[in-house]
Amino acid sequence: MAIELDKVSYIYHINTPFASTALHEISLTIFEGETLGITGDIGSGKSTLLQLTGGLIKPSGGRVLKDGRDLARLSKRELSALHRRVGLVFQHPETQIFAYQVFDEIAFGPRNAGLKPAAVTERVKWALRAVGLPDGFQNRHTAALSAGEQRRVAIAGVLASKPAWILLDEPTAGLDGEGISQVMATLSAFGQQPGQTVVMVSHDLRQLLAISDRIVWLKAGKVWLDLRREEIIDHYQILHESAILPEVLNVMHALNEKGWQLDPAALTPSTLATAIAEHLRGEKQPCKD
Amino acid sequence: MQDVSLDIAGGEFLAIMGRNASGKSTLTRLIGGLLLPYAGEVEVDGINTRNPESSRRLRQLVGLMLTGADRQFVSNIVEEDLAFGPENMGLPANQIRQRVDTALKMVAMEEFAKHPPYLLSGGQKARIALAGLLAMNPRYLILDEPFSYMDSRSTVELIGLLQRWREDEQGTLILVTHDQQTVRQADHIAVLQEGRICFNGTPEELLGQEQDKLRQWGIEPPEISLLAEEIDQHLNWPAVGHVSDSGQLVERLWQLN
Amino acid sequence: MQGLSLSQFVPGESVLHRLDPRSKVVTVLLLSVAVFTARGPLELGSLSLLCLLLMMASGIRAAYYWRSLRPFLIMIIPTALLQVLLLPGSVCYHWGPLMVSEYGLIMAGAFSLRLIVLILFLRLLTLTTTPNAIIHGCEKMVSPLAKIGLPVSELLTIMNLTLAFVPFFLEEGQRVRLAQTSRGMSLREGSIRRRLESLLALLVPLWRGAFERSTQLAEAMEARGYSAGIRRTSLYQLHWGMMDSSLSLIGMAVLLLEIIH
Repeated sequence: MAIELDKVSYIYHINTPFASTALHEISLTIFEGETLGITGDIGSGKSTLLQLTGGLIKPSGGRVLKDGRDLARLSKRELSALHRRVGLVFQHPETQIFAYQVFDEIAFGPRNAGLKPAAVTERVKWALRAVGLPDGFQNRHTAALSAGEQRRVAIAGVLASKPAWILLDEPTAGLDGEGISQVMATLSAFGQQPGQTVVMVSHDLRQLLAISDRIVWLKAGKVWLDLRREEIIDHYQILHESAILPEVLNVMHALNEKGWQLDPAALTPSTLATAIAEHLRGEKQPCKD
Repeated sequence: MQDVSLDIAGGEFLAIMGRNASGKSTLTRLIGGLLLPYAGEVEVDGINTRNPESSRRLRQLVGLMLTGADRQFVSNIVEEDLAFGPENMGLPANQIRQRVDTALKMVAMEEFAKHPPYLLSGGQKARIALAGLLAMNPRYLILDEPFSYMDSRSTVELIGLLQRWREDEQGTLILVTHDQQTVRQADHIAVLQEGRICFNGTPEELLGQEQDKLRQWGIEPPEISLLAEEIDQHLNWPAVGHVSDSGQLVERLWQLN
Repeated sequence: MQGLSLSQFVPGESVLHRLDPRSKVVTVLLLSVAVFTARGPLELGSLSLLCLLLMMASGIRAAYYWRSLRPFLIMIIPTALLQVLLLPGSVCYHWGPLMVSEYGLIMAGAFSLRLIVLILFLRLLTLTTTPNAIIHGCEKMVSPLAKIGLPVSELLTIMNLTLAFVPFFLEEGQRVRLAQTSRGMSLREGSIRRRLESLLALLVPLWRGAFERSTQLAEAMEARGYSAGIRRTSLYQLHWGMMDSSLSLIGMAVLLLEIIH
């Protein structure tokens, strides 16, 4: 399944004196199996983009296509089927927790999908493992959890429906360092599974660099850059003028300028460290053409 | 909170750090006088927060912005929300008008005076929330994680705004934050862990601490230190050592090469 | 969140915008009563004309008035249709078994027009006057009540806060609905259990959110110097001018004419 945004526009508060255009004729295709990062200046409509991709809202202009078919033309059943395949994790998803027990919260999706009780239990356990929570956690009370734990339960609640696509809006907002690493670990593992598509919106480029195959930058409601992971370092100059970049990019760029040829996909501290160490030891760099 | 003693100098920029639930929010409320300590005293400009008679004066002196301020507007018109504080102070209408206009100017949002706050973007909402405090002419600003959703540019802009306020009004700025860039600009950092202060010093001293200690305190070591540490681990000897910025790291690597 | 809320103020510089909120409130009240007591086509007609004139004086695009009317049409149109089809009287049209009487047409017309004009008058008030200004004006008008101990200021603050709270509540509601929908929530299909659970999935987060927000808001208000019983002033200085007197006199005159007629 591929989802394509074809000249999609979205205007907030259309027909009021406070109307503002969030997205201007955006054209973007999201392919199955990839992990896509979306970032950009604040108010650039990143959250809206996710909701449009998931078919939850309609664009003000343009079309959203699923495998070539306009979402606006889908029947109600087909649209519901799409909603089941696409899991959307909104910002601060823990505010949507409604059940008393963790089990019931996570079981909501699977039960709605008609799974039998035994299968539901399996699913809940699987979802808890996927977010790194221990066995038996399903018996805890949702109100007694820490912020990070609540966040993970909420994400597990979406994962439990086993959506093939998962869209996340600032999944680490408000978490401290530990919470952030736990969520990122979950997403990384999830995205690496074959056939799983992950689309993540974040203002923190470091997080996106940790897991994305491809990153899209939005600026003033338009697509500014759409780069595969390996292409990012080639665009260092233009990125640098626009924002404070993660140190890995600064270091890689500076070293490349001095003639080193580091693996352009090594954009996290650990992968870059590996690449640098290999270079210093005089080991051959793998060819990346 | 247990046995916390902290001196904040007038005019300084203090950053408060620590993991979630370490007591940061409680601390801000204690300083702002919204909470009273079970033991010990909190004094702001010599005013004891326990003193009920001075509470009005304290509210005016201390501008406290708690988390979620971008959803706590008291009106559907920006300028009316900004007027809330001055109205509570009992100021006459023309002074309120002046305060509102000045505050809007300070946050560069004059064109939004008659807009509904709920229709603004996240960064704009944060600026209006700040303006609401500035309209009370505080001498202390305490902000609890104001940058949660902001990208690097908006954060830099907001910090710039706050620093300008500090200079113009000789104000004292207290920020609870995780953001490393911001914290570097502070004069003084206090780190809380389980209700106690586990570090009280300058940014340089903090970032110079061992990474394990920083992690224990819930502080993410600076990215450049992480990179340096990983490189040294791969090479099995402290080739790079401690670096404070990318330029230094590149220098060392080049020399090693 | 899309669209304007029904009480949303639209900024402008028109004559109506600059009037004292008290005269606007009083006039709208008087005119609303006049709408209800209006009998013949002459009276309804002239009230509608007055309404149109005021709408033009407000300088606000007709589209915004239309949007405010739209939600009410869902109620008005079916009711009018029923009146047209069911009220007895001399028949003017047939369509098979359906009979349309003259009386029915007149009643339906009067009913719809009355409601529409009423809604538009109210909207005229809320489009040109901010809630705070309305509240401050009302506060001044009922201030004698405060002297006998009624917490006028606090009650009006509560009203204002509720209004400010509504958009966030709606936005949150939409977000929760979307999130739970993507997890297969359904209020209409499926077993009773699923539907009940879905209802909970919608209501519990909203309820909890409302409580959390209220607590946070109370703290924020306290931090900004609010507490019960303080003497609050206002951003607005109310000036009653010539135009205000004129408008109120027009309102009174219209109502008196109706009553006398």
